[in-house]
Amino acid sequence: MAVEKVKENVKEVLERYGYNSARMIEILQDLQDIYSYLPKEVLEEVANTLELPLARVYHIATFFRAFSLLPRGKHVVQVCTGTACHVKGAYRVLERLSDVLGIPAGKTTKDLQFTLETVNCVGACALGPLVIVDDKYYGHMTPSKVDSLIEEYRE
Amino acid sequence: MAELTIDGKKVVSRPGETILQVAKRYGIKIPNLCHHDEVKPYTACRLCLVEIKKGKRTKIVTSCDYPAEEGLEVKTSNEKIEKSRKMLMELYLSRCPNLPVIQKMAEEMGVKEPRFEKENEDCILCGLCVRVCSEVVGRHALGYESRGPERRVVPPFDEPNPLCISCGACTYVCPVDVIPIEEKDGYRIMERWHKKSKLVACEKCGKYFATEEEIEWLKEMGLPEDKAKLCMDCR
Repeated sequence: MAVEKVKENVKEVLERYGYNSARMIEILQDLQDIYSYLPKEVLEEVANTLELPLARVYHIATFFRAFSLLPRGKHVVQVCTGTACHVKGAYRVLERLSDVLGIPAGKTTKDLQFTLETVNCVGACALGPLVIVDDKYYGHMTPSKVDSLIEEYRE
Repeated sequence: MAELTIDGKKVVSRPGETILQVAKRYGIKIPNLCHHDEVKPYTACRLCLVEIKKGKRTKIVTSCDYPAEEGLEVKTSNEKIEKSRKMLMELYLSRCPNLPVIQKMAEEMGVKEPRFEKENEDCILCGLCVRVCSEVVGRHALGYESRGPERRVVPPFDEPNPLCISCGACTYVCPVDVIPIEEKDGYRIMERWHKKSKLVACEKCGKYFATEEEIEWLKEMGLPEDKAKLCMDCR
């Protein structure tokens, strides 16, 4: 990873939040948007610049499930497994997605195309079971709709 | 200065003292795992629960962080407290069934087999090592990772941390004694943190006395150059 580019990106994001470490979550979110995950070099640069212990930044980055420290796929497929989606069959949809992509929830395909994740309720229960690909919501999912959905994104 | 009672005994607190500190000074024992006088209270282990009476109301509080206020009536043990402590001990025993310290403490409290599924963790997540490293040593080499059942104490990325000076303060404070430290062939090894530090020999007597990183840190803290070359006995 290019050191200069990391410095530049981190600087830009930190400037946006006035170098205020109390806004760490927003800082990390913005950085994750750039890289799709939080690379080690980025966390180190954040800690160094804000003069915070790396252990502290690392704790925050690992505390929230929304942050990933491992590279994620080009497309992030999230399956809502909140209560409403759960009772409407989210796990059958998840199972089918797992089969089609060949990975369990929480993992990324080898070609770095897809990451499969579960989320606990996104507040759109009426649309359950819900699958979110990148930022697009697909409601009323069924296992039989999974194949064509993935085909749309597969390159 | 405040007057209060602990288990019916009149005690006088010093400014800033907590209930646990006063009790300790008066020789009244309150069980605990996550407290150390040199670091700030953390209320992680919950074992130091006591019942306080303020006016007409009683409540259960953690004595390690509760200020020893004027007029408090503190009870370090009663049925309610014991019930809570036993429950906690049962949870500790199910998390760490193989730790001698936990086994002994549980036995003393009359907790035998935990009702919960047994795990085989060794760390009770009291955070003493993390706190001593940042508050006392000042290196911030350790921290937490994740949360909930996955939470654990590690150096960042669970890799050898250049900030760690292998001083062993974490080993010293660990209440369950699960941070081994070993010196072998001129190195000090802290396996849990994947850390191996080169030892420095005293210029006078030739005995290994500190790690290279420790000496660097002490110099930064103001130890004069000539003293940094000698062990404690030769200085």
